[in-house]
Amino acid sequence: MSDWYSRQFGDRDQFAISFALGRDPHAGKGESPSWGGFELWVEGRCLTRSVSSEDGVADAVRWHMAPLLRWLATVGSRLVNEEPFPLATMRDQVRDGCDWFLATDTAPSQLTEEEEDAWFDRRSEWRRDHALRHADPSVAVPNVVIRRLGHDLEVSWDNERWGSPRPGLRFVESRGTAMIPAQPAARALFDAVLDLAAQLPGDLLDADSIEAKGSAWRWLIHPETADVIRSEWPALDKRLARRARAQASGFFVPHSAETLVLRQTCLTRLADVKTLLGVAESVGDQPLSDSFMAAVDPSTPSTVEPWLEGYERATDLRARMGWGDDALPNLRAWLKRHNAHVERKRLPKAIDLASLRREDRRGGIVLNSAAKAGLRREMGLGTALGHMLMDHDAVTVGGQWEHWPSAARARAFSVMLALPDDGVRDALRGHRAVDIEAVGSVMKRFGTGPYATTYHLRNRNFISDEERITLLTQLVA
Amino acid sequence: MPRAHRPYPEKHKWPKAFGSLCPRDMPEHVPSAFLAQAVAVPQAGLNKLWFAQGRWCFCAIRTGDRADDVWHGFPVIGGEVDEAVWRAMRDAGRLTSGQIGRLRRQRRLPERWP
Repeated sequence: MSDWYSRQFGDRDQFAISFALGRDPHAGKGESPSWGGFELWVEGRCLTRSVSSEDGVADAVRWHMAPLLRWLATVGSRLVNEEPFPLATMRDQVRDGCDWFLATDTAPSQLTEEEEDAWFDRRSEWRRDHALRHADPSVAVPNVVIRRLGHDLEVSWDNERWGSPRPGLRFVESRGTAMIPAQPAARALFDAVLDLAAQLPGDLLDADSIEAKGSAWRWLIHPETADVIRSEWPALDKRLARRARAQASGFFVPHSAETLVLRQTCLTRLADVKTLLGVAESVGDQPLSDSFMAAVDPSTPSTVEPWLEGYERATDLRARMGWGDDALPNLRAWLKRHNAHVERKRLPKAIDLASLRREDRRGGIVLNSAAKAGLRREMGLGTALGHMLMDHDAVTVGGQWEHWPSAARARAFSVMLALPDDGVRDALRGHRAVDIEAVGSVMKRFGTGPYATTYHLRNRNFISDEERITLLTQLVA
Repeated sequence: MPRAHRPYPEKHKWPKAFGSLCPRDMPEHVPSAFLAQAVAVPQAGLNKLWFAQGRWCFCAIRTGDRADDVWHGFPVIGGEVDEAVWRAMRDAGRLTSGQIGRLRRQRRLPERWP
């Protein structure tokens, strides 16, 4: 098989797509001029690599390339800029775009028929613009979902729970998630589309028609929030559009300070938009102390068992601060001593907390005073501290729309910080069973609430799920 | 003139091609019967027809010249199908909401026909 065109766009160690065009072995059929192959590489892994009972191992998907190129040209701007999932899911452990789609395959039971139709429409629309398989249903391509996540692109793939439409063919990379810098990846996709368009006959694509427009900043945040800004805050709408027009490049639109905050939740009232943007400025007057900053070590959370890093970082902080296995000092006072602003105020319902650590080293935490009782309320301060110490983002908003891997890591940090394993074992010593009395001893020693204590005891295998429910019911009653 | 079915066997052949494949044990008369009942759903792509029955959903696209009413089809995993297709089939009375729900949750093609 001889290809007359072959080119790679991007860097395989981060994100690359390569295309080949060759002689159509089935000449005379359909869109034969675009016959060829494409490969998708992420962090050194070839996501298109397959094993087939007929043909062995192949890196490229060989087929007509025109439908894939047309799809990329049509959805490109939305693919690399749209971040929020359009529907909130109550299911925990939604690690990425692949998980989100599965977590929403059943609509909430309280919806009317019309609302249920709207639910599935939004879910389907999102997949149409983010899932590679929507490019061309007539060909077996891996199940890959791409979306924006802050300054990164989240690329997730799941060929474990999803089969291939070609029996006997299996994609080698079964399940994973990668975070890669968004701008170069978006550039690779854009350049690929333009270059291939120039190789193919006819007016397949026009560069001007596929470049991101000023309005593309709207993909960076929830459409409901963007609608509020457009209709009720035209000055901000114009400023964001002007900035997007000036800084957009190909498909890509960079975030502004406002969109980096607003992307993290869905707000439908102007007052809430203004409140959240105000919260993002709630930092202390002085820079965070050197000893606090020494504990800051941002990293991308793992999408697999992200809580393990949270546990580890909490244990490290305890050791660093010399807290041993005793009850924590007053965390609020401790944070203030290190120059962090700490405040509890009424925030929009969808928000539990905001955590800030800016480049000028000033930081702060704002907790929602109206948050419902439960684990998140009990652990809010420690969770926000976890975000400050571990997140790359200058502002993290926790709540209904949070990014699960970083939220789960921060919550695990919070409970382990409050309830160190050895201290818990010590508190349980002498109790013949982990019953209400034993749990009461742990709560008393560490000053923790019933939700957090039973949650942690379950997660650390001191009690079962069933025992947790029984104990929590008794404790809350 | 009824829609005509013309298979596209090249998708199976060397050099390696990755076309979605119809079930091997599907009787020869079935594609034509499906084509006769398939619905066009422009929101889910122009020049495509859709049909679903039991555990299977198929998409058909034109074979050769776009002016001809000649088609070939391939199976699509239910969970991959655009919601507009399910809506059209429900509105046309071809599928019930329960059948759609089951197909919507499908993540791999059935191993055997039917």
